[in-house]
Amino acid sequence: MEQLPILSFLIFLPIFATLIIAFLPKNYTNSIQIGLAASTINFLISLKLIIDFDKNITFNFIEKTSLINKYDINYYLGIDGMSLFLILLTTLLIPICLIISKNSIQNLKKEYVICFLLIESFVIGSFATLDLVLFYIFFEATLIPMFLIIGIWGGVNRIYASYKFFIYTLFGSLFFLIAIIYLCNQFGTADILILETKAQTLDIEITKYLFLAFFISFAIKIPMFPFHTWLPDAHVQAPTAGSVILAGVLIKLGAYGFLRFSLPFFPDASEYYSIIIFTLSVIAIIYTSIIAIKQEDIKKMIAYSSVAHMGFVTIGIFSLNDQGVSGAIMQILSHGLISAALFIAIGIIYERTKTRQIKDYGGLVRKMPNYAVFFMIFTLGSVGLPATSGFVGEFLTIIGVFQVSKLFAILASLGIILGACYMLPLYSNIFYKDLSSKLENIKDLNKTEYIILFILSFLIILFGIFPNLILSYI
Amino acid sequence: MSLLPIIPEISLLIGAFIILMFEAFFGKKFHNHKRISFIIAIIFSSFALLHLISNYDHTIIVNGIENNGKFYFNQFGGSLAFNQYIFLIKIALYSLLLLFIFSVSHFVESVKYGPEFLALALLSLVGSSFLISSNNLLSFYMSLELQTFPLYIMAAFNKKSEQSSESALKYFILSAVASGILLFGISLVYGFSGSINFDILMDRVLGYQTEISKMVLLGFVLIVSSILFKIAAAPFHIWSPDVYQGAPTPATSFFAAIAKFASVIALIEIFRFLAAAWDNVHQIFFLTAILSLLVGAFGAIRQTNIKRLFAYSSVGHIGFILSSLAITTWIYMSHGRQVYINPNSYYLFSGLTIYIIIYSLTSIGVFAFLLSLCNSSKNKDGDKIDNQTYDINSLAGMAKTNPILTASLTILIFSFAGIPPMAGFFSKFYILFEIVNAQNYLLALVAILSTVISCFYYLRIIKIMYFDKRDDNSTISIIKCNANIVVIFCALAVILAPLYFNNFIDLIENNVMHIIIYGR
Repeated sequence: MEQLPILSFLIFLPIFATLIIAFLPKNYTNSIQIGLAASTINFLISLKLIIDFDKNITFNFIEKTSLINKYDINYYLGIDGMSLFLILLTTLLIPICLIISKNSIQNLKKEYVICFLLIESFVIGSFATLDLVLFYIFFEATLIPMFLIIGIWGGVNRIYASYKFFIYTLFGSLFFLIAIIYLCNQFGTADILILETKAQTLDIEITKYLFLAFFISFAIKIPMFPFHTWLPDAHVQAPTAGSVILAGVLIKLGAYGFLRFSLPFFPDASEYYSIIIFTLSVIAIIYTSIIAIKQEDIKKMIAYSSVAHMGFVTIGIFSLNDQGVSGAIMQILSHGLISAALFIAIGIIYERTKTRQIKDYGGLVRKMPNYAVFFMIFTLGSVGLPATSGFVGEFLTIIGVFQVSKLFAILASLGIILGACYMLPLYSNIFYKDLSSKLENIKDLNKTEYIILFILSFLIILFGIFPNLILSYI
Repeated sequence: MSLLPIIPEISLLIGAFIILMFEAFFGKKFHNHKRISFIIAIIFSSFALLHLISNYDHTIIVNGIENNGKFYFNQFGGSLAFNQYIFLIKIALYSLLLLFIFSVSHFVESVKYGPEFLALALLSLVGSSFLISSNNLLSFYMSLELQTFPLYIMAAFNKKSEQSSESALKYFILSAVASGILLFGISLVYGFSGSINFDILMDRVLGYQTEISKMVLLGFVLIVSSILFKIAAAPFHIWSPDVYQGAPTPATSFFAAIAKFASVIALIEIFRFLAAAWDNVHQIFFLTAILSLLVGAFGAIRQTNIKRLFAYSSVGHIGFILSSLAITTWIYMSHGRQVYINPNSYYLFSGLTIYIIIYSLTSIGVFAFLLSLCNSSKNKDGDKIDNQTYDINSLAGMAKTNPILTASLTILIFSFAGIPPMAGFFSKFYILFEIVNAQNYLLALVAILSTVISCFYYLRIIKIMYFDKRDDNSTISIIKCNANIVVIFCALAVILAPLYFNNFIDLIENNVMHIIIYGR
């Protein structure tokens, strides 16, 4: 029996929904419901992926249609364990994003839903594709909706942030494009699986340049020090749901790119540059953690902590051994959950108080006990406490790094301590101390918020206790 | 001698004259005479298009050669040539014309002498059409002039506007100088090679008998530079921002999309004569390509007039086209005629053709959007204030009032910027692919960087439409007219076109191979 094209379905269902929304009458106000329905269906379908996934085969659900004969560029889909979980993360976060922005978005609702659905299909597309050019197309296409999300529904300084996001990322990815073209040209195909074996035959000097071209694009996307400056700006200005999707999914594209392309294509060059990447990652971990300590804006603090966590990802990837790489994958997924959860949590109190300054808060535990419990779980996850998914990722990563270099392992573990240095004071500043008078009337979580936070914290703890649920697939 | 192959041109010519006569003699008798003229133009140009499409597949053998259903023949003493590639280009050209006519329908009906404007556009297109199939230097020159002469009048169409007259005069004088250079080049070529026929020149210039005379080469360089002027490649681009800004928008739309399209194809026809001395001469293309890319990227950044902005952006696009010409390589093969394009390079022509078609399509869409802008405040003569209408800030907040049109324009602009999955990305991709293939990394780098920089001003338009608030006193609004449909159509085409590129490349490559085999 022929398999259903389930991946194509995942990619095109959101696009189909955007078409419906686009041609709805002008004064129709329930476009969010339609988007929600489409993305929820998508989530349920993606659950079927897990059920049907065959661990014995590397790439499941393969689909192939020719796109451009001349350069052998195909519409070629197929997923392995890593992409499976990233797709699940995406399909989980999109409906959540739409739910939390139900009330906060006032203008241009239709366009808002369209942007999120487009991001969903582009991101799933880039995780699911096995064709280099197709990956680039999806990878670049995510820029457009994200640019609009930051620019239209963002904060005061949104235009600067959206420009910076767009131009920065585009600059990086065009080098990537040239490298892609070079590879396709050299081997006459854009098939990732074929290129994987063939690219290794290239001369080492050439692979060094190609590696750098790939590197600059992914390093900007992830982002790595010193290319990270767009991320805090984008996060602070983006609406809550925008931050969630940016931290939860979009920056993972960079890490995915390293794992899917840089390592298998250029193993020698990866090894050659790994010491530089180690250094940059460790700088990112320590430097951004120290910066995060001094932040007064909660969102900016979490944004910097994202950069630090991504430092763990890159250092894990370029330790080039099993523990490091699976630690990095674990870290990607757990950061996707934890940072998304933190941004949602901040969004919840921001909506009630309209401020994100730490000094405006205090004593919230008395007014919002349920919220305080969930925030505690997320904080501990972010710090990397055992029994949360954050621990598994950081632990495996550091084991991996330890085999390569003790010095870097020690420096990286310093980052975990520094993480506690800003996350725990953040928690105590918000929830303990005296209740400020402005917060007298603040209400605890309502039902939807409760459910969302519960799901996320459940997953964070679940993967912390049973990491094999994920690791057995990788 | 059969008139069959030039029926499309004849049809347009008849259409233009019928419109002129109808306006002159019956214009006052019918209250809706402008609409009738519009319908006449539609009928004659669709007839021309249908004729081309129906004759594309089966061969018309007149006195030509037939080969596997492909054909090549020349007509009228060798002054016009036809083959499948030319037919393909003409189909694209006439489709663009139809879109153009639809998009200007509102202008035609609201302006005095509107139908005459339409007639001029048809006449100019006859010139473009002959230009594409011209096969000797004389018909080449004449059809180029036939294409440009109506443009001068179209640029000056807004009689009351000083800017319009100024732009027409500027365009006329500079264009006349360029034509003079073109004629001088032609006379040099004729004087030192003894022929004006492309087929014979191909033998004499590139042939085995003699070494190429330096003067013939100089002649061709002059011809090429005058075409570079017509397509506004830097450093010959200075006229274009002023003319784009000053001329009435329908005229600008015609310059940007249709006249430029035909001139680029003419450039492709001419530039192969430089092949004999290519090692020295390709530097011209290299230089103009890089200059155009840079001018296109940096020139537009500070512009506040949308039309002016698109003038610079189109210089950048021409830069892409020229860079693909600059990396052409030639090899000598002995098969009847002596010089063929290297198999690595003929891929260029499919990329190039796709690029110019997508560029023209997007331009038509963008200018159709500008055509549907309307300023309700008038100056004391009762005219629309053009400068205010096309100030970039007048688009502020359009996303709220006209969501679908704004979204379409956004798609078109992202296509211009070359962001996937729009067609603009694919057309840039093909050209970049060939540049990297030719190992010209400097050019690739400049192309890439100029794309990033040009994104900056493309984004600004989108920013103004979506992020900025509408000024409450703003008198600019979008009127409902046929141009709206054209915008949406072009946006859809730009999204869907990549799905058909596969077939299109095959089609062009088969036909370009054909050109190579027959020298044309």
